[in-house]
Amino acid sequence: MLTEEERIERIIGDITEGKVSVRALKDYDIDLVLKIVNRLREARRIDPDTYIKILDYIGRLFLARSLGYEDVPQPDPEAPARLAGKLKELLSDIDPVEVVRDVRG
Amino acid sequence: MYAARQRIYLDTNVLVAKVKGEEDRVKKIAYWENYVAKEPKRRLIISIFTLMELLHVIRNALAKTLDPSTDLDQARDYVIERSSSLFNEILEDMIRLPEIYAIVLDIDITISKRELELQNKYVGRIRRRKCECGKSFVLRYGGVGHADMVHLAIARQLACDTFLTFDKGFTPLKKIVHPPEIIVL
Repeated sequence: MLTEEERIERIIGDITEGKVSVRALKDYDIDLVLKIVNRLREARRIDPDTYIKILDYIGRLFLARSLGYEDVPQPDPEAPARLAGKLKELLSDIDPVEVVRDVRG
Repeated sequence: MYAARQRIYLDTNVLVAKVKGEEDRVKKIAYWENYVAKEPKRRLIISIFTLMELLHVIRNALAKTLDPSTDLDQARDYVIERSSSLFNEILEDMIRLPEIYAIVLDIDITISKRELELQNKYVGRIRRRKCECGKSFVLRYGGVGHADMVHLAIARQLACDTFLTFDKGFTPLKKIVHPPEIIVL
């Protein structure tokens, strides 16, 4: 009988080998997944691409749940275009470089 | 011959330029989106620090839209409510971004003496800027600061080979910091 940590580690191995989708992590505790994936990365047992792929999924999952979804919605090729100009009115007189400089103090 | 760029970190001003929809800058960002889309393992990285700064930018911008005589509690309520609504609208699109983007919220980063050394050594420029009243000028320090160093440390931790920014203040660091290679767009 595998512990939850061992099951997560096995799934991460399967993701690395392309056997399962990163969505296989959906039902596990996010913090535990992060703890394991960071440990594996530190030990160089997963490559940077898989590391980023898992962090990306977990990041989107957290945001999706905060918006009321159970899982991350499917990618939408139109999303980058929709994002462009989303705050056009609010930021109309603002220079992106200057405003970020201001925020950074 | 240059190695292909795999993981490209986006500074906050890049995301702000995109949501603002500045035509010239959006075109430059689109170039990188197309570049990344050519190879499955390439990613444009948006970090939690970038999202936090974006939220701060939205709140600042909203506060500036209010009449200075507005009741401060009412102003606060408005900024919180409206910023939350706008930020969530952005997140609705962000979670649907194609896999050319990676949104990384949880990062184990180490801020080391290297960051302090860099910030201490590269003092940047002093710029003359119009003050907010629009009538007089103020001098502003325009060099790299602590938040810039945190972004670079996150990019390094995520094994990013490239750091994209519109901020010319990063220029003095281009010869010093590598990886990631800093590209001022």
